[in-house]
Amino acid sequence: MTASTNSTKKKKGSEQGFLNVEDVQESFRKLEYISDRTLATTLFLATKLEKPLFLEGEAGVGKTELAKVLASAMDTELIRLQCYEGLDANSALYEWNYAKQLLHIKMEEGRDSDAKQIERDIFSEQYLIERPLLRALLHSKDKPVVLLIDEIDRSDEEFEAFLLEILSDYQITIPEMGTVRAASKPLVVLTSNRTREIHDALKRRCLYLWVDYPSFEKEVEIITTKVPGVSERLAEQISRFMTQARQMDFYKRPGVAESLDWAQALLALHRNELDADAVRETIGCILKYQDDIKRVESDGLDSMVATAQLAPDA
Amino acid sequence: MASSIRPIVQGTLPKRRIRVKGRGLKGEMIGFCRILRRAGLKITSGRIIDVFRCFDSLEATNLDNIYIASKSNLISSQDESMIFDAVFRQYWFDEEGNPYTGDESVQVDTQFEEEGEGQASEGGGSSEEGESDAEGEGQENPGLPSEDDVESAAEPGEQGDDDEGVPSYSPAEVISDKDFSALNMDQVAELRRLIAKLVPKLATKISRRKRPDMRSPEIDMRRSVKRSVRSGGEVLKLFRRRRKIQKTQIVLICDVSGSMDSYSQFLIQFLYSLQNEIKSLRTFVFSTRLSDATPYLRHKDVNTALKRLSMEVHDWSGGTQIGNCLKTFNYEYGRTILNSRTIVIIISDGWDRGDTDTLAEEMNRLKKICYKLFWLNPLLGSPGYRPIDRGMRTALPYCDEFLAAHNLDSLIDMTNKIARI
Repeated sequence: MTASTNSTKKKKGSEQGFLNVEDVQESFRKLEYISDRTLATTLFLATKLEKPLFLEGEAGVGKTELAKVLASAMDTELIRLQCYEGLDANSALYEWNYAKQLLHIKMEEGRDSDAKQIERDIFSEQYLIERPLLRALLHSKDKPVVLLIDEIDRSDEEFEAFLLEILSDYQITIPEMGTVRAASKPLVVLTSNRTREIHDALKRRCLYLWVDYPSFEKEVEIITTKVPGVSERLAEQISRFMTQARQMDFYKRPGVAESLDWAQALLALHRNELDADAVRETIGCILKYQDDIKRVESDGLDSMVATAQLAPDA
Repeated sequence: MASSIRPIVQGTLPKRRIRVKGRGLKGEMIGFCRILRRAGLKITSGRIIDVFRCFDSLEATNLDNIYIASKSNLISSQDESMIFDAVFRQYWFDEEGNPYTGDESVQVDTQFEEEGEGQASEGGGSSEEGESDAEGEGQENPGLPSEDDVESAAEPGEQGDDDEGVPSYSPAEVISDKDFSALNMDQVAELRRLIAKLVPKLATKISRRKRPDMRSPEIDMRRSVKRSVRSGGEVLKLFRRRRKIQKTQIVLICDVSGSMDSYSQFLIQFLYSLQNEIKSLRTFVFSTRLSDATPYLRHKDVNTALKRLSMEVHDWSGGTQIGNCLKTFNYEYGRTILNSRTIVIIISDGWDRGDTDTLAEEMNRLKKICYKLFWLNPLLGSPGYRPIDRGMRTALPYCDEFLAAHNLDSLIDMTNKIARI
């Protein structure tokens, strides 16, 4: 994403973070993320209260992107943990480097070393492979990192319980080493596509924010900022088409990510405006199921295009 | 999806008064939280404290800020968002004419709006008892109901009163209450015992999690290395692990329409028992509309669980629209909770008033995305029954198994079939 390369030149003290809500909006705008007031205020509060932020919404509305932009706006590292079913403590927290440990033991063998000492050696930080959660705790030293726990709904309940433990104390205990505590609390962003309900206990610890599809105006703004070269007119047509498409009974409704892909595709094909042919050629950018494509073709693709083509004042 | 992210109070501030009569923002906020709590939101004191903490860094004179700060802290789902909006509107805005109903920036589902307003105003009106401190001074209370509100509050089906005559929101309208309490206790006990016995037989699935198992080919490096230290780095013993075994994922979709009435008591017991034995089970009930019954059935106490379920399912014993309900299921849940290991069991008599084309289409889709599709029909147990009615005839070609479900024996039969998969 473009956002991560664009680090801002903020001269803020590392402790204080954002000054106020406007500051959040301003820095997000610089990073080409269009935010509204609710979103900016909630983010601001998350940094102030040091509470995790729980983002829910349909796929493709920009939840993950939000965390990335947040990290660059705060000029800090983004640590990402992608959840999946079966994700366990070993891959989320830490793992020992077994090969290295074995080598070390072998090397010590001839030297007649003390077994206790070897044990202390091989269970030290050098032999520890940091996974995202541990990294987030260790790296939040001078300024909090942003820890993105992506698609928490794809993990299972066991992991949720484990996460709950970490998010309440921001510390973990490694049996062989002792307790690791975060110097400053990382800013945690959890996202969920709502494929299953997340346990209340976890959500209660978070600030909740529902991320919706953008309004027409906002989407036009997003397309024109993110896909340079797209004319205002095409952006409006895309956005108007998408607004209609999101009201249809699709198996998978297209999100903002699809709008951006589509705009890029149309741009590459040198289309300056939507017409039925252009839509048919590129429909794969926005609809990903054959049934959905059939549906839009059978009922009213042409009329949708016609509506999309309307000038705003017509 | 109503765009609730959008501040519902945007641009309307000048007209508003923030009622701080004597008790200040904190008092107001506590009063507000009480109403929310009665509306069914889980408001802990920790959450309220966090709301107050927000105002250390955010101006509390701005209603927009109050809205966003309290909302992000106090809700934890999109459903709660709608309840919150309704209560907020009722509590923080005066009732004289122009609050928000005419405001275009409000985008709340209309059906809910009616319900919300009716109940919230009730909240204002009847909160005199037992609410002495924060809610106190009952008379100049938040939602002193206007006449319209009183009228809408009096509408049938809107009377969600619970303890001490205080109103409560229920997420869905309660059209009819079904009493499950008249169950034969022996029957219940027997059913539960039986199901507990059957569960281990249900097919199993291999988990991604590992457990120690010395007979497995996979080496557990962590434990092996750790132990090797004791022998000076010589790995004398290799520890092994293998994947755990889990229950099959089962999804139950149960018809609770009028035609199923005589079986529903029995069925609901079955659903409850099954839900409590198999954690990963998802249960849905439908008649004209589909609802996810899983969270309700998870309650420990059977009677509470059933009561909560009957409160939630708004059209218990209503008509049947299998096609549409399956469509809802496919669109909202299908993509995410079904996979190639999931067994879907539909329990219905197949008497459908809906469109058969929809039914066929959705059965076809459902069949494609799950592992096995079972149809249990209570009528199949009665002698002479033939699946010739429209709905059943349409659905039958898509089912992997078509089984009876009128008594315990038939359910045992079904369980055995699943176990053999």
